[in-house]
Amino acid sequence: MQSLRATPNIAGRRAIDAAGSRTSPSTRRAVTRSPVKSTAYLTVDPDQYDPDANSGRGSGFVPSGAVSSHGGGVRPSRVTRGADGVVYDPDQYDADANQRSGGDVVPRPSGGSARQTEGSNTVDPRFALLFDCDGVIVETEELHRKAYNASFKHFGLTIPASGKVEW
Amino acid sequence: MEYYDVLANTVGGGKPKMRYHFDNNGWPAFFGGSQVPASEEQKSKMVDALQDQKTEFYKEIVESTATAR
Repeated sequence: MQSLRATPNIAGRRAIDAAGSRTSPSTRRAVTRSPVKSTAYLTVDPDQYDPDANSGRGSGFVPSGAVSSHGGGVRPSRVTRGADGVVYDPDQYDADANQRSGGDVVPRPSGGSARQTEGSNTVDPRFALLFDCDGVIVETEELHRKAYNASFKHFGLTIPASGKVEW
Repeated sequence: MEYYDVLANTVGGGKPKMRYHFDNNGWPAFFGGSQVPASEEQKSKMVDALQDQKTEFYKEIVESTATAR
């Protein structure tokens, strides 16, 4: 079993082989490749403007905050990345969330949504909790009455002394 | 409509409403029959069936007609 010290790294071995294929055995020598420091994968292009991220379609690109001096990336964006890594776009319009039970879709409000959150301390405007008591958002009493009567009719309820049951 | 207002403000809950009404007006029979529930168990079964069906109708009504104030 070879020791780690005796085993050249894979890159070095491949370099030797490559050199050997081009040279005679007598001139073969070890060629080691220098590590290339690269931070390319960390490069952030401040000039990049992603229309998807800024139109609420959620590509996931979030500008780093750098302002370009070359004309790009100057368009203000309210897209942020939360501590949980999720991208939040307060300008996003979610048609699903705005569809009424009857099928109507509430149109996107005009005038920009920036005004909608003024005075709010909502951290994530994409989500909200609705607290509702029966009858506050929708007047349901009459609907309950109709439903009871429909059930009574469905079963053909008849009180022997007074006839059909209807509220 | 007026009667239901009284009922709504007198008895809480759908099943208690029905029991209240039937206790005061007589228990009904299904499908126009003459067999009315006599035992507590029979009454509970009737009320349960009525309430379950009422819930189904209520869901349909809410989805088809309800609008926010």
